[in-house]
Amino acid sequence: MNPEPAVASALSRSYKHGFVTAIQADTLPEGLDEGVIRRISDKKGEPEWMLVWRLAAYRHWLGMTEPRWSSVRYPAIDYQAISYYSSPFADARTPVSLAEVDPKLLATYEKLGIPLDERLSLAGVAVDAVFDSVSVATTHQKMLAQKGIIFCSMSEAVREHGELVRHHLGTVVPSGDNFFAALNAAVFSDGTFCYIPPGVRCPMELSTYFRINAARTGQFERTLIIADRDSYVSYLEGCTAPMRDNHQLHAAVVELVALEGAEIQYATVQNWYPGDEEGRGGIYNFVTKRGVCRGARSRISWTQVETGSAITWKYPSVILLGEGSEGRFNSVAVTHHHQQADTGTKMIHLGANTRSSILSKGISAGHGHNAYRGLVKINAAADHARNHSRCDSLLLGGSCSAHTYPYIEVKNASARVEHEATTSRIGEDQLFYARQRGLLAEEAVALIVHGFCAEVLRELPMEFAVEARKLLAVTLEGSVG
Amino acid sequence: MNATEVQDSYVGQFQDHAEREARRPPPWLRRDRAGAMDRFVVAGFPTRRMEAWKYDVLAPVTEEPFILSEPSCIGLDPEDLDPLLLNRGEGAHLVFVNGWFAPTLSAGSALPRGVRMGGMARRMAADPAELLPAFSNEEAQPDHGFTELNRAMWQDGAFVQLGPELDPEWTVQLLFLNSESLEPLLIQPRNLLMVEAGCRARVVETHLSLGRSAHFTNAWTTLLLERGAHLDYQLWLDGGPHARHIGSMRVTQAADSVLEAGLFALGGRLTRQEVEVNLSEPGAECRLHGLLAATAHQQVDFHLNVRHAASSTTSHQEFRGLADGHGRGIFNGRVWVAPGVREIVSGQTTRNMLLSPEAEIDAKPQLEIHADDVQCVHGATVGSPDEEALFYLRSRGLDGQTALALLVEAFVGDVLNRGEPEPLRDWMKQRFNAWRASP
Repeated sequence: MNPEPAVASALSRSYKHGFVTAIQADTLPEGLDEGVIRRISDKKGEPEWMLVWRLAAYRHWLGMTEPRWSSVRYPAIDYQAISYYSSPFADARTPVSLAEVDPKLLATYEKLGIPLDERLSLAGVAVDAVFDSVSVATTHQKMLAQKGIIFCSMSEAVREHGELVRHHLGTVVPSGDNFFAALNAAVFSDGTFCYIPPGVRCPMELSTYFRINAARTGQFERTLIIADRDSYVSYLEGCTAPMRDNHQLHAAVVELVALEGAEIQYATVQNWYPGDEEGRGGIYNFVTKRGVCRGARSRISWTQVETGSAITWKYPSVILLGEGSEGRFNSVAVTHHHQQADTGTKMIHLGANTRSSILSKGISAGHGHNAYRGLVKINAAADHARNHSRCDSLLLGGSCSAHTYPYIEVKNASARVEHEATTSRIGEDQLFYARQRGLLAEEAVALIVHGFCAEVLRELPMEFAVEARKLLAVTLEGSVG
Repeated sequence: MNATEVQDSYVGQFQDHAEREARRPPPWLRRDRAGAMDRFVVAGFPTRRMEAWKYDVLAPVTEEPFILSEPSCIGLDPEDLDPLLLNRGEGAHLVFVNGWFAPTLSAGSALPRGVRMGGMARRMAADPAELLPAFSNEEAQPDHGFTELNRAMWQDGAFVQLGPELDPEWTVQLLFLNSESLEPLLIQPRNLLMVEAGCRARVVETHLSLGRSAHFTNAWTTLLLERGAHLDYQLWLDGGPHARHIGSMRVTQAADSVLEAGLFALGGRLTRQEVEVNLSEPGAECRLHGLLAATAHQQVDFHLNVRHAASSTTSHQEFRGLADGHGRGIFNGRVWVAPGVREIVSGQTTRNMLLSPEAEIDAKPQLEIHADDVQCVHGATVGSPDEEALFYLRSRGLDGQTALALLVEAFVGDVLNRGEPEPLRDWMKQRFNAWRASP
């Protein structure tokens, strides 16, 4: 595309969530050892088994090396220069009601467009708000409890529903699964726990809003969602962080368990601070997300819109164990300026008649680096498994890059696996058409990009789809030319 | 034996080889060999922990020792080779027995002007200075233990130079024959093919076996296409069920050159063929097609790497994979586009068919794009023969086996039928059918 300096210079990108909340925080000193893990566990008043699990993960992690196989490049992370716990509550006690929460915190969420007061909140969305290492508040809990749904912070779940958590925690992403998952298992501080009882259709969207505020901290949350037989839940996840010059690590783990006939829809709009135009600062988003379709006819779908983070490195996966289970992955990943993304999915077909579909849209602009990496594995026992994958990459500008690395492993002759991928820039003819209809270059690009992503955005719940569209437009501002 | 012991055995053989080498090699070659051996000792064999080797079970070559082959007389008459030769018209063939050039078996019509060909060992003895640039180019070095091993201990191979006045119908066949042997042999050809500016040429390289002995061919081939050259190149790997073949081929294409290449691998205990094509100047184009087929406990791996280093370059890839029995087919096709280049067109299709419950296909098509003026697509499928098509054929009165054979024929026909001229095509189909019929 020929540079259009007038357009390029007229636009500048803004990250509107980049403010810092000045709040008294209880933050552990930087560094990691067994003592730190014991203190995290102690602060959260955890039972002994949880501490034992954490320490085992930590010892395992010590023997692991940081993976280097992906296409992202970053300087070595000093794990002793990170604080592994920061709580906005000085007295280490989680407030019982919103009235006890520091108004500054509530104002922060207000500013992010996530009011925590149930009267003001969006109808039909229950929110668990996580601020640095702890959950601030969880809305609509009472209403959900009437249906038998448990929706609370992970810390609360470990205390109140210990057996349920213990039964499922680490069964999908074992504590030693990979380097970052092991680190998370050792130091995870909060996150969301969700249980939908048999036959219940969750009446509202559940969501978690993650916010990193404190400097030089890492956020390590852990989410566990269990959908019991024939239940249904739709879950949303959003995230933001202040603008800072140094990189911050976010290494989360999400585990989904779908039992017989259950369905989990998990949507993410990831908008961590991406760093500035020169690539200074931004979040390293190294996340392990995995779901298991344990029962027959169960379904899990991952939908993600990845616009933020300096580096995104995640592969939301589905293990298709139950007969006739179905996994879906829909993704839009945008990289601009010096952002890097290596993202995709794994669909592991173990059961008969399992199906999966993958739809990935990657957009690179500026010096952005975007890679789709996905595995479709059909095991010997997965008779009549079916997969279709489509990965499209759009390039805006001559300095960006787009890579596609699909891995297809088929061990069953009755399988049908199809993969297709395209990489191209926006067609001159498309742009010309849009412009001769009176659109500005920038509007024309936005229109074409939205069209490119439409299939994925359609999978998002309505409130998120609107948000995602705005984010896309903001992220790509200044990319024309 | 484990991989370390096998590696040590090669170090020992290297020292013996260096002492016995009859024609004293020039000092630069001795240094080159010694340097490669040092790197081999450090690097060792690749392992499955390496991304490029994650699907390969290398035990058949890393856990069994092979003995460096010696020139031998196998008592063949030139007529015995007839069924293995393609040329019925104009052309020449070079025959290599266990990797060694066999002048008495090689023949052909008088070499046209501008054509030079023969054994690499003789060429090195005659004029080492001529080969120095091609041999000491570090950048042309694929980076793994097997190529280092070849570089350290290659013994012979094909040297072919084709000039601009060549008749395009004039075909060169490079026939690599492996004979029955008492010990499992290590065969290490080092081949150099140069197609001069404006030349149109056809080269067919076939690897076949006369016996059922295990042997390990570790080949390294360099292919240079000068400006405007046009090469039709067919590689046929068909060394029998006990063959181990690891081949690395590196192609460099100058402006406006065209490479039309067919790559065919039928079984083998372990077959891995790497092809790297460097489209290094504007207007270069490569069209690759091929078939990988594995049955019983065979493993066949194609590793393709097409590098668009210059603007206005084009590549097409069309591959088929077939896995039967406990066979395993691996396809890895990478397309790389350099930063800043323009007008790149690249397409890649790989279709794979599984014919038995125990067979496996692993496919990894890759796109790595660093520029925006590109049109790159790839498609990959894995599946079994279409049930409806089978049903249709059976409803027309064909038995199940015939119906399946027909579908397989159509499936591989897409790539087998591209061979030119017709006798080559017929020969390929015949070899394929023989392979399908073999137990």
